[in-house]
Amino acid sequence: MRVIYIIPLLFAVSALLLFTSTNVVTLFQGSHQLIGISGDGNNINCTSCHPQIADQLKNSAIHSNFKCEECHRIKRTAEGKVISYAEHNESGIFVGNQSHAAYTPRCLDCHGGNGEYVNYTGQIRTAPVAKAFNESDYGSDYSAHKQFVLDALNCNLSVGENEACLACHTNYSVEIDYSYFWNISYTKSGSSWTLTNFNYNGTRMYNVIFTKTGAKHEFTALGDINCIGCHKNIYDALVNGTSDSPYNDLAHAPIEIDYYDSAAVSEDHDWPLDNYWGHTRYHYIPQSYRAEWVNTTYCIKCHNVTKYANDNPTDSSTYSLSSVAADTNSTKVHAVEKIRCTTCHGTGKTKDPYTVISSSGISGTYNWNNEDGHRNFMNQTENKARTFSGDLCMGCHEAAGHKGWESGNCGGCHDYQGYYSCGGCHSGGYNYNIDINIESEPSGNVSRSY
Amino acid sequence: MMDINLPKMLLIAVMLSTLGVLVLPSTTSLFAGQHLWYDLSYGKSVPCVKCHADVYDELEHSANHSMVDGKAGVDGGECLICHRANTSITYASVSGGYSTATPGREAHAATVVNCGYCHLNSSNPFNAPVAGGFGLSDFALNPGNDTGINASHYSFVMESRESNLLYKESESCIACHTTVNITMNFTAVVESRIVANNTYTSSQSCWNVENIEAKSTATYHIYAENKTAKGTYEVIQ
Repeated sequence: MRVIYIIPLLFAVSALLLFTSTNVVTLFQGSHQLIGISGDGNNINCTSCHPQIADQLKNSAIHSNFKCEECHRIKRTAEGKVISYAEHNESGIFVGNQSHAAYTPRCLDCHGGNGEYVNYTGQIRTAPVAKAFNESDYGSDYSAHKQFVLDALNCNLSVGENEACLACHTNYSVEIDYSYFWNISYTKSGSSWTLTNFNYNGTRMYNVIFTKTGAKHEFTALGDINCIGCHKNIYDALVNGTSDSPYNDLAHAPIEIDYYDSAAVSEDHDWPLDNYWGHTRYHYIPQSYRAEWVNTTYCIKCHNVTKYANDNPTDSSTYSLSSVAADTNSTKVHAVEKIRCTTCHGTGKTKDPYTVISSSGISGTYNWNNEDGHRNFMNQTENKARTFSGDLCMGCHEAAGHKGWESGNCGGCHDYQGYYSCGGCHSGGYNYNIDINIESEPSGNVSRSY
Repeated sequence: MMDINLPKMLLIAVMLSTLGVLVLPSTTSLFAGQHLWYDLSYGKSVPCVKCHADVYDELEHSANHSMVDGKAGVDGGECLICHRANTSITYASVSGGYSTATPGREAHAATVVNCGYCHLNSSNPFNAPVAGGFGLSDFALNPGNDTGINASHYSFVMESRESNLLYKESESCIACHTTVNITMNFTAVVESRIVANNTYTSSQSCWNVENIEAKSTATYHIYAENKTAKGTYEVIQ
């Protein structure tokens, strides 16, 4: 276009703009146009400024049907705290007290106490309580995560003890740096099975990175809470351990047995697949399923017997779990219980092995015949710190390292298909001192010398 | 390039100049209307809307404050209610005839006002509802009232008071209560680092969480264009 036309056109447009434009503009457009708040409910949409939270809730297994106000304008918590907010509704105008628009709640505001809270509409609602943690002082000391909750209370990252709740119940990511002992060593002395020479050694640093979406408002369904996400060292101890032959060294629970398998494993000791109570071994998982079956369900088989029994009625019947549960404190805990092996297998407990192991081994010379020694040892483990108790048992109960065949000393009894079980070496007639060294999870490496 | 016939152009220019001299006033003021004064007697006001037409339009569509002067319809009188509300300031005014004129002292026509001037003051002359729940209203002086101890937006309001964009806490007020567009960055912790130590002797052991700290964050860039609908966002970090 020719310049001679453009210049007048620019002048014309500029003049028009000058004529029609506002002389002075307010600093923020829209700042004098107020949003009505007199309607019933909240007229200011929280998700206008917090759209990412709306999307998180949309993907959440729990609370996705909640309005923001259900939690963030709670009027009376389950523990009795009353909060008044600034409010303008059909009943009038109310000045806020502790909060103007929103409150940052503790999870226990709804899930604590008896679970009854008054929501933003003034209705009484009932939330499922966080068992044990809803009690004073967070309930019994048997809850494995109680200390986590107590320590989270002193952390300023989230309000109250929320940091602990978020770690398990949401897609909030966590990295955990654990430190604990590296290994223990001890001696089973003589026929009385006296526990001597106990030592703990070294420090193991174990880092877990449990990466999820990071969203605090994506709540996890209770059935999808993943124990091994945070406790990967335990998973590795049960599934991988330390490479060995014919069995890897697998610690934490007797997940592996030195089973009867004909000729597949030449130095096997023919541990039967059934336990001494006549049922498929409770803790055993065949190797081919181990990576998959070591999961939250496997964890609660021991760490919350009551829940496992309720969720698995057939197993409950088979293994008399209602009686076993009564031996535990699983009804008093949130999620999982701090246990020892003797919690279920101790003296007088439903699964006390005293009577059933007496007949193990071949009758006569190689019969076990030293259940008193075994009981004596078990009782002594209870005098040791709980953190060591599992490994004190696993020092013997790890299938790996039972190499009597190879040493030759025990081969006469433990010849494959011999089915002599434990009595050969562990009977009252044999007074070997056995020195045991076992590493903590995840390596679980065990060595025994006679 | 168009051919320019210089003699013809000169002729046209001369003719237009002659016509102009004939029909235009002999002298023109620099700005038309500058000698037509507004009557300010008996409390009448300069029409604020003359310069602040955008505010006028917003008030017309506003759910509140369009009748803050007690009269239906937006006529500009609403401006004075807020912008001359500060009773500690003497504004220029004419209450009766011009002989009753009061010169302004601290301000002439208007002052910038913060929302809290009325809404944190329970004795405000307009009976404006008090915005409690931040511990900032005069109710906070009474024990148990307006503590603000559970307000999620408390830090927003307090930081707003430190900002120089608008007066005092007004940025935070208009962010929620008006249609002003908001873009903001939210940085949220998405991962924490937990240090868990097992302490033990031969006979006693326990786990303790030594520390919980933020490890990773995500920053959401939020666009809040309509306060009555969900905003949009993108994760920028």
